[in-house]
Parts: sequence; C-alpha cells; structure tokens
Amino acid sequence: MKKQWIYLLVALMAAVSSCKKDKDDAPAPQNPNEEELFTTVKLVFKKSPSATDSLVFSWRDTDGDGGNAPTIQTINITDDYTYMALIALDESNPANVEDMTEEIKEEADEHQLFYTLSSSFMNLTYADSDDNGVPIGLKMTMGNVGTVTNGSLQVVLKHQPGVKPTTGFGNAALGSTDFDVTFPINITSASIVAAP
Amino acid sequence: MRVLLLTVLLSAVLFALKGSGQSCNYTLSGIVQDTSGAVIPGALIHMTHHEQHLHATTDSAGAFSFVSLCSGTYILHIDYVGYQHKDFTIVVPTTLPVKCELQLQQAAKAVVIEGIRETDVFHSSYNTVLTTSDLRSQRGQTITEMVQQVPGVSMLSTGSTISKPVVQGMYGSRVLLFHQGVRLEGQQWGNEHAPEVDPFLASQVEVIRGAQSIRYGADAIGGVILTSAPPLGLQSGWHGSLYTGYFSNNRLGYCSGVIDYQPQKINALAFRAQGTIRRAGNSRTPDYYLDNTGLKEYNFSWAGQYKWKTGKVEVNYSQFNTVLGIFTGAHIGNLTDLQQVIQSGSPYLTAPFSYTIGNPKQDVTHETWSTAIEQYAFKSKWHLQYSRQYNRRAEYDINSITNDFGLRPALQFELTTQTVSLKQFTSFAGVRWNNGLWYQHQKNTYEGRYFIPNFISNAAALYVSGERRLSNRTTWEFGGRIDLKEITSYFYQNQQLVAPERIFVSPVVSTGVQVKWNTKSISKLWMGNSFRAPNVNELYADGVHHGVAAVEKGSPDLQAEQALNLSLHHTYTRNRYTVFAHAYSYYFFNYIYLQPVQPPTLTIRGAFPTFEYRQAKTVYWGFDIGIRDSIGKDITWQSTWSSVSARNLDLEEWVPYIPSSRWMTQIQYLLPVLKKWNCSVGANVQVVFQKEQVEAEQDYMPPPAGYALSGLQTNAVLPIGKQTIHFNIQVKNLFNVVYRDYLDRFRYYHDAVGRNVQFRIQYQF
Repeated sequence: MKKQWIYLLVALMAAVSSCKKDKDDAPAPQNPNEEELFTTVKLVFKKSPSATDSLVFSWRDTDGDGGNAPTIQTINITDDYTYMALIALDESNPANVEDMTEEIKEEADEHQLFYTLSSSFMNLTYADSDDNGVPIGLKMTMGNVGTVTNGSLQVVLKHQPGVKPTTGFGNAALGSTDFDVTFPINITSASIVAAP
Repeated sequence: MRVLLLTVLLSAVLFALKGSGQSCNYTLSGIVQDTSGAVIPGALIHMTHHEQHLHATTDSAGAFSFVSLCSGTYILHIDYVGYQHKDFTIVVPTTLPVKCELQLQQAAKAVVIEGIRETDVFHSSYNTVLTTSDLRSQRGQTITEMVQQVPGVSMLSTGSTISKPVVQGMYGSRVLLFHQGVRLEGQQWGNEHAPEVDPFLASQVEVIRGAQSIRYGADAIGGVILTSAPPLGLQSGWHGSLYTGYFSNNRLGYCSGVIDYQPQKINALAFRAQGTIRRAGNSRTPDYYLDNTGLKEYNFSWAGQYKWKTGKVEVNYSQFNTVLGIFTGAHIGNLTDLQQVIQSGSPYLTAPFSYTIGNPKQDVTHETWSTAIEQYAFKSKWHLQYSRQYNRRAEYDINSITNDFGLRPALQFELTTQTVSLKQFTSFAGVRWNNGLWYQHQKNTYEGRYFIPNFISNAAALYVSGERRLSNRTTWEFGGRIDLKEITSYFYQNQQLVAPERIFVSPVVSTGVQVKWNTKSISKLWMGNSFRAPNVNELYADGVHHGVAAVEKGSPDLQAEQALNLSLHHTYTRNRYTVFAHAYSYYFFNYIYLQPVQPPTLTIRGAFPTFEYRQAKTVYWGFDIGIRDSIGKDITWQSTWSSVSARNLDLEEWVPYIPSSRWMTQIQYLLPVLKKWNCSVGANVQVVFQKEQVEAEQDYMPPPAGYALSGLQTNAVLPIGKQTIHFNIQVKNLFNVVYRDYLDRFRYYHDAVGRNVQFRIQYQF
C-alpha cells in the first residue's frame, strides 16, 4: 500500500514537470519593424468637404521610436481651405501599409484627437462625433482662416479607455497619448496668390 | 576511526515568572563548537518531544535557539556533514548553563574529514538570518516584502504589486538571489521585474551584505539573498504544514501546503511536494482604490532525495506562475501625460474594488529543475549540481490599436539558463577550503516591441577560498576567483541583422577577518573587489520605458564594472542586550548608470527625455546600527537605523534611487496570562525620512516627504496533540497614513497603500 503511494507520487511529479522550452532561435531575432505601430500622420486639406482636389502633408517616422529622425512636412495652404481630415498609417513595413484610421473610428468612444494652434489664426471645429455625440476629430472644419508664417499645428491622439467623457466636447487631460505630432504651418492669402 | 568532538552549550532560560509544571515559555539556546572552540555554523539541530519535531540551523556565530518550549524531556540530534548524528537527552527547564560534550562518529570508514562545513557563507561578512518564526509572521507576502525587515534592506517598487530587494543601496543585477541553491536567472536588470520566487518553500532566508563575489558570482556586489527549505529526510513518515491567510487591504487570500514523506522501511529515500495559490484584488490607498492592481499566483514544487553512506543525490523541480496587474493610470503615452498626472496629484482614473486583472499586466512563468550529487571522496566533500531555468516574461500594454487590443503581449522575453557547478569542501594545511568551478549558458529571445536583443552567453569561473584559524580568537578568510564571460547579441540595426560579440575577463579577490575579543565582543572586517559584465540592456537597450516616459539607450562599448568593497562590523552582547554597528563603503572605478543626454528623442508620441548608459567613478557608503534588549522577563524590544549615500564623482552629483534613511523600532510582550498559548503582542514603528541627496534636474518631481508607519501584531500557538496551530494577526499602516515612498517608481501616479489587516494561520503536523 505504502509503495503504491510512492509510485503514484513519482508519476504525478513527472507528469507536472515537463520542461518548458523556448522555441525561438536566438540568432534569428524578430525584425522589430514587423510590429504594428503608428508611424505616419497625414493631414488632408480641402476647400470643401466634397471637393476632389486636396493637399496632403505628412509626419513620418517609418522606423519607429529612435533610429532615424522623423521627416516632417510643412503645411502650405491658402486661406480658402475650410476642411481638414486626418489619416493615420503604419508604414513600418512598406510592403504592407496599414490604415489605422479605420481602427480609431471603430474605437471612437475610447479615442479623441486634440488640435492646438501656435496662435489663433483660424478656428477649428470638430465635424464628427462618436455614438455619445462626443467629438472624435478625424474630420475638422476650419473657419476664419487667416494668414500665418512660421505657425504650428499640434495634433494629439488620446487613448481614453473607460474615461472618455460621454457628454460635452472631451477632455484632453485624460488617458494616454497614442501620438503627439507638431506640423509647421504657413497660410497665405488666396487672393494674392490668385491675382497674377 | 577519527572522532569529531562537538561541544554544545545549552541554556534554558525561564521566561515565565512562576514556572509551573506545564508552562510553555522556555527558550532553549546553545552554541555548537568543535573541540578547539571554533563555532560551527550550518549545523542542523533536530529536536523531538512527544512526537513534536523542531528544527534549527546554527547561524554564522554557531548559535541556535528554540522558543516556546514546554517543560519536559527533549531529544536533541545534531547533524553535521559527514557524521552520524547521536541522540542526546535534555530536560527542560535545565539548571543553567549546561555544558555537554557530544561525540559524533564519522560515517565513512576510510575518509578522514575534519570540520568540513557545508555553507558557502563567509563568516567575516555581515549576515542576517530570518528564521522560521520570523518568516511565519510574514507569510503570504513576496520575498522582497519579507526581507525588508532586515536592517539595511529596503525595496524598490513599481506600484503596489511589483517590488525587488535593495541591499546596501543596490538592486537589480548587483544583488543575487539564490533559491534552493540555484542562482535565480530572470530578467533581473528590469526595475519593474520582481524576483520569481515562492517564499512559502523557504524555512530560512539569509541576507549577506557586501561583495560576495567569490562563492556566489562575481557580480554579487550589493549582497546575496539565500532562501532555503528545510533539508529532506529528517524524520520518517508524513509531515508537513498548511498555511492560509487573508489581507484586508487588497483582499488577498493565500493557501499553501507542503508535505514531506520518508518511507519507514527505506530511510534513504525522502520526498516533498509543495504548492501555493495567492490571489488579490485592487489595493487601496487611504483615499481611493488603485485600478487593476490585483495579482494571481500559483506555484508548485517537488523534491526527492536518495542518501547513501557517503553521499546523496537530490532532485528539485519548481514552477512559479504569476499574473500581476499594473495600475492603469500609470500607463502614459508621453511626458506631457506624466506632467499632467503629477500636477493633478491624484490619478485621473479610480475604480471600485475588483479581482479582475486587465491590461496593462505582466504574466511571468519561471521553471527550475536542479539535480545535485554530494559525495565524499579523496578527503573532500564534492558537490556537483546541474540546473536548468526557464523564464518567460510577457508584458501586456493597455489595450490599443497597435497590439490587437491587448490580446498579444507588447513584449515578451524568454530566458533559458543552464548551469553546472562543482564545489569541493576539504581541509588541508590547516585551512578549510571551499573551491569551485562554474559554467553557465544562457539564451534569451524576445518577441514584440524591441527593448533588449536576443543573446547567447557563456560564462565560466574558477575559485579557491579558505578559512584559517590564526588563534583562538582570530579567523582569517580569503578567496580568489577568475571569471570569463562571452556574450553574442542578435538584433536589427538599420534593417540589418547584426551580431556583436563581447568578452569580459577579470580576477576577483576577497579577504576578511573575524576576531572574538572575548565572549561579549565580535568584530568582522571584510574587503574585496567585484566585477560585473554589463547587462545586455546596458549594452544594447533601445526603447521607451512606458512607466517613466523616458527613452533608454545602451552603449555598446561599456567596460565591465569594477568595484572595491570594505565593511566593518561589530557586535557587543552583554546580559540581556546586544548592540551592533555595521559600516560599509564601495568605490566603483566605472559604475554603470543612466545619464540624461541631449537632444530628447523625437517620436510620434512626442519628445522623450533620453538616457544613455555611461560609466563614472562612484562611491557608496552607509551604515546600519541596532540594539536589541529584554526589559524584564517578558518584554523584548529592538531598534535599528539604516542610512546609505551614493555619489557620482565624475559628475559631482548624487546617484538617484538610493534609499532614504530609516529607523525601525519594535517591541514585543509575552502575555503572562495566556502562557499555554504562548501568546504575544507587539507594536512597531517605521520612520522613513525624506531623501535629501538628490539632484533637482534628475527627476520629474521632488522626493516625497518623510513618513512614519505604525503597526501592531499578535501571535499565538495552539498545540493540539501532535500538531500545532500558529495564529498571527497584524495591522500594517495602522493610522491609514497617506504617503508616497521615494523608492516607488509609481510615486508620480498614486499614494502608497493604506491600512492592511492581515490574518495568518499555519497548521503544522
């Protein structure tokens, strides 16, 4: 009887202690660029939401954090542009560019974009909202557009799971930052450009 | 046939005022010495009394003690390496002091061994042992929380769930942890990586301060923490313990059990099986709950042993699995987020109590297999050990678009370590030798976000060390070691796979002396150097540390860190009180640290302050002082003070994250009314001062103010026939003080936890 106990114990021990193994090969590490991440923020400017002509400016850091410095385009538009849309991409793998904008839309009740201007050269108002009626910020309307040189436009995407307000216009102080990019911006007068 | 003589000094101190026949308040303490008067540390004392079994191991001074003994006849066995134990009867209470001579006969016929000790601990270094009864009132907590009560030890925490021990101001890869004789190999370099150890298995935890490079590893600069389970096969039949408890603050519940079996007919065989479950929900500060700070842990282990006349073989297997929630409000995207949290002074997100663990979280598995063979041959004891450890650490970020909404870990490391060691214990030319050979192979791989590279490393070491008695009072210890470490890392640089190789070689020497001036005073002097090859993160890290909003960059050209350590210790015992003082200093020729560099790294989440690993001349110095006294017969109190400083000499700046000075006092009263239950009550106060030696520009916010925490505790032991039940109730942070600790990396985000009432029961059979 006692002996059977021992056998049972030994069998049980052997059963629960099969060694765990690392199946990965150390000399062949995973290329970190295969990870999904935000690498690119594009701003699309139009004279009206339905216009077909558009100007696109991008903030790109295709190799992710660190490594090569990001390339940032200066926004050059005229003051007759009244509509702006945002596109976020993952371009870390050129063969498989991923559009992250759709995923922001799907998770609209956890995300909000916040825009900050270096000075009040225009009014930006949200043109979209989530199911609760709180703005998202993928579509923006520009009003009272004035001219500016060496201005800047900061765009922050906040991830606010569980804390994004369900009423009002949102709260930039909550949650964590998914991206935070700043574009230099120059706006010239459309009438002067058009004159000659 | 040679005979080893041991002198055992026994004294039974009567604590109870009027010792009646059935009083259970006797303490039996003694010192194990050899015939020359040298103390014998590491000797095993096993005592039986009416089927009740008690164990103790002699400490570095050769001393042991048993508390809460009832009057009666006890049978004492002293087990010492290589010798058959002999039974010895003692009647408690005894007339004190008693001096007895024990003759222990050598087990092996042809082998002549004199006074070989099994322990690797140098006696001229400063050691503190947490005994079974010390640990009993700390069960259910992590190993870090347990050793925190030792003077000079504090903890570096990341919120309420993750903490790692700090010894003499050092942590991470400068402090080694040995669990069951195996050097723990996880991702120790990470400040937010807690040791993967189930402390329920340990019946004893020992903290050795100072450079312990010779026998434990060249990189043991700050010190070594050793946890050990009771030896197998002490008694035949089934024996074990069940532990359970509940903590009010985070509603932590635990259950742990260990069972030992030795077949009556086959004494050479012994087995042990053990398992633990711990589960906790959100922690609570005095004002709010901390969202997502639960934990769930399950561990199990087993061991088997087969003994023969001149040796034994032992097999150990253990598995540790934990899921640790990380406070959601500490997940920030960039520096602006961090500054916003600091400015508001309280988390933007609080939640009710919950056991649910969401993202962010850590999911860690650690598996250890070890086989050890001990054999007497060629006038030596040989100890050959093979161990394999597998550590998988998966870290999950907050659910987001970029990680498939949290289903996939943001990063995962798998580290496999294999170690072979051979030790020789022998006596030759008047010296007790402890020599060894060591080889380690490691493989690390990562998945997900890059932080450290894949690597394969090979390390080997050879050491020679010994102890010689220079006179009746003076013992001299010395050691030398040579280390070789090769490491090849594999990672992508500018889309190209690179595989740089680094090789580090260095000698290490240590020496110490212990002088027993008389029966009251012991002085210890210890000095030595240490050598630590840079970790892979120090060489090749590149990435954002989310909790602290900083970019960490390795420096591929770092040299191995070289340090000198000097420490001095003095203990004075008179009548009922003991005082001690311990002072230490370190000089690093090239201390590896993180230095802020310009410009900040611009990423899509904004600009991050950037830190790069550099090397500089650095000094550490500090001291621990303490007193322990018995006022009257039933009251004991003790008080300790610890202080440590570290300064970067090249930058002329204070080193950040060095513990602030702390003062701990506790008092314990053995209740005379409930003698039979050995009931005691105690109170303690811990005062932690504000850290002043900091540089304002090193940190996002000034060090938090000092604080004082009070606690209460009560213990009782209930003997039921052959079994005993131990009860412990204690209150931590009794006054629900709102505070933040300088060594908590989440001090930017939230207050430390509030009042915690803890209930513990241990059933021993």
